[in-house]
Amino acid sequence: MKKYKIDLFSDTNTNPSPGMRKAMCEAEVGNEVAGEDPTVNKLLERVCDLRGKEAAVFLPSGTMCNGIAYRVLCQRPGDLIILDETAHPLLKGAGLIAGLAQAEPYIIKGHRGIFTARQIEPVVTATKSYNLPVPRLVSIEQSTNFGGGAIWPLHTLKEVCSLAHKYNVFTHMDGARLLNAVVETNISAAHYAQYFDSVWIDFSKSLGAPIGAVLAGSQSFIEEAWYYKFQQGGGLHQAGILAAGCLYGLEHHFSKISDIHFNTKKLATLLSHFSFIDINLNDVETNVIICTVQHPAHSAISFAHALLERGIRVFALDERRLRMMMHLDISLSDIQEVFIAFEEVGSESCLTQVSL
Amino acid sequence: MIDLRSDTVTQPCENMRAYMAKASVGDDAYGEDKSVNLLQDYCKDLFHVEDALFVTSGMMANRLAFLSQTSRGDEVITESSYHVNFFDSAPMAAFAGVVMNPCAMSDGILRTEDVEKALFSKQRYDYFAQPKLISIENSINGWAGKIFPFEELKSLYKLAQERKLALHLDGARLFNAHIATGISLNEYAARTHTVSVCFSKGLGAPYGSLLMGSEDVINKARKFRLWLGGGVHQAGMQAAGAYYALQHNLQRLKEDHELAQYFAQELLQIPEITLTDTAVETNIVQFSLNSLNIDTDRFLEECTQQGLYLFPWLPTVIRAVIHRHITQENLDQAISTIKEIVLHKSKKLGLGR
Repeated sequence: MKKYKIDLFSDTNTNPSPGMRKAMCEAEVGNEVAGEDPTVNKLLERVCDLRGKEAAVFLPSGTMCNGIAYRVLCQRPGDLIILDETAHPLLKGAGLIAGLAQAEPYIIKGHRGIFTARQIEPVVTATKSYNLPVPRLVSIEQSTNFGGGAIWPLHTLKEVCSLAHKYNVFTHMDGARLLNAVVETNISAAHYAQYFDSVWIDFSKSLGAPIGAVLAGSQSFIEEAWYYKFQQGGGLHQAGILAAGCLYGLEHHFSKISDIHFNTKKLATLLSHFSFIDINLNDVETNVIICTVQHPAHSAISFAHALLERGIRVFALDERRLRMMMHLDISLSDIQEVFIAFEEVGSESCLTQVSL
Repeated sequence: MIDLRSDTVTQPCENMRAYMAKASVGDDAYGEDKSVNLLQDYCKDLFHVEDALFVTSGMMANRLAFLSQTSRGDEVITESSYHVNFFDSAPMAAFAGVVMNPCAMSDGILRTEDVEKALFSKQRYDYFAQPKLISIENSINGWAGKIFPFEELKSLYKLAQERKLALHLDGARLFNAHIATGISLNEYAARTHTVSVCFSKGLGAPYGSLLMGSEDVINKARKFRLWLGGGVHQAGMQAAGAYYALQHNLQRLKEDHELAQYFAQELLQIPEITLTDTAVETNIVQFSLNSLNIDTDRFLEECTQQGLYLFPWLPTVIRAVIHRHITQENLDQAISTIKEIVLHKSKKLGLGR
């Protein structure tokens, strides 16, 4: 039935578990856009506690969280949003920074998605003038996605945010995978979130819910966010069904994130034995593996193709690099199978490849 | 509690929930959600359209229709009471950068001659705003669920073709119009360039709308959906709810319409109350407390205290929407509550004089 036996393309590709589906379908619901959905309201309370924020709003996607936060925090078309070159809204947002937020990205070349206070200093501290765009917002991703699942060290976050705030620049945390960082470092979400004017978490990744993200911040920030939520078509009706999936994810799947990370490290270690795979095990911090294919007959793209033939889907980022994401639906035996498939593909001759 | 504020308050029934719970899902961001694809394909057949896109809400479907059929600085001709112009946060200005040319009709129907008039209401030099889109609504929320006449739609579409304009039909309640008129959904869709429908109103699904049209337009809409944040992952359970609603709840809209008629007739028995439109065609009734010199908000507050929820549409207009949770007994109860409050107010006023 399933198109791929083992899907490592993204951690968004999880199938809601029977328990989650049951919880969703028993959810008490109301009209969300009128603030009347009891399950959504319960979820918002939970998330406010978790992240130590005053207020929160339920949204259908993480992309909408970024879009809305950018629109609330940027004040004029042409404002600068400072972000890393690997930032998801930059690479995968169909140009929403310009198209939706009408902002200009100021791109920092960080290391694995992480940059330092020093790197943003020139733009943040630059002289203000009518002929210059205003640096308005620093947007970071914790943990990183296309940075290979790297975790921002707390002191780096703190320095970046203090510098930004010192110069009246807002800070935003894309927390699509914040909980992965929380599990790995034992630093609470609230502790990370305290440095940010806005922060969101996604329930459709490691927590395994089908849909749902929550954006949090100050009361006035969330009031503004509601305006844009409505404007972007994110006002929902009986969203309690979705929120119940998110709550279930928090309650039952949060504790499984450490297993997901364990599996990720396990797979990385196995793959590091292959001469045709270049992988730095120290870089594998959460649930993401980005490795380089160094094979005489294979590019990353053809390698991914060959794996797909064996029912395993990975993401070829470009000609050289593969991305794999571990999630709830991947077991240790799946990892064994992936390892074997890598071995098979890796040992194929050039000829077999041509016939593909 | 009797909730007549809107048909968006409908709760999914047990069977719908059970059906949703079993839905097969995938990542819709990659077009891999089987239940979403099933719903989209089913509706492509039902409406005879090239392509269909599942989105979070009717609001989003309308935005995408505008974004994918206009450019910044273009003009959109609509009627001032239609939801896209009347009950919204100016998203079309904010996202699509279009200027609205809203016509105010005495009966809420935007006809061919009105559009012609709007087209020639100003100079149309090449470097001025160019009209690109006509946006209509069926049934018309602001006009007590009035049906946009099919003959008018036909000639409007003909005009749109001749003038090379796109025609968008906001079909938040098109299912109600379809059931009331018996005109098939594909007959309606054939007279539009894009049409949106909503599953979370009378059909009773918890979530979701579809935007339908040509492949070209829907492909553009797909990109704008991502901008707006409407690209979601496992949307299949929600799509399954919508699919279930289409299969099971479509025909029963007739009952809502009958009850709306009943409610209107009963309201007419109260002398202090006037209906804004006596021809109740679908599931919405609008009324005013004309002859009573009282504040509508105060009246609604008192209704709420008695467990009757109505919607303040305009400062003097109250809206009641009939939906699947409402029975005739509920409406009898609603009428007696309204009567009681009205009587009390009239007495008070009488005493005051």
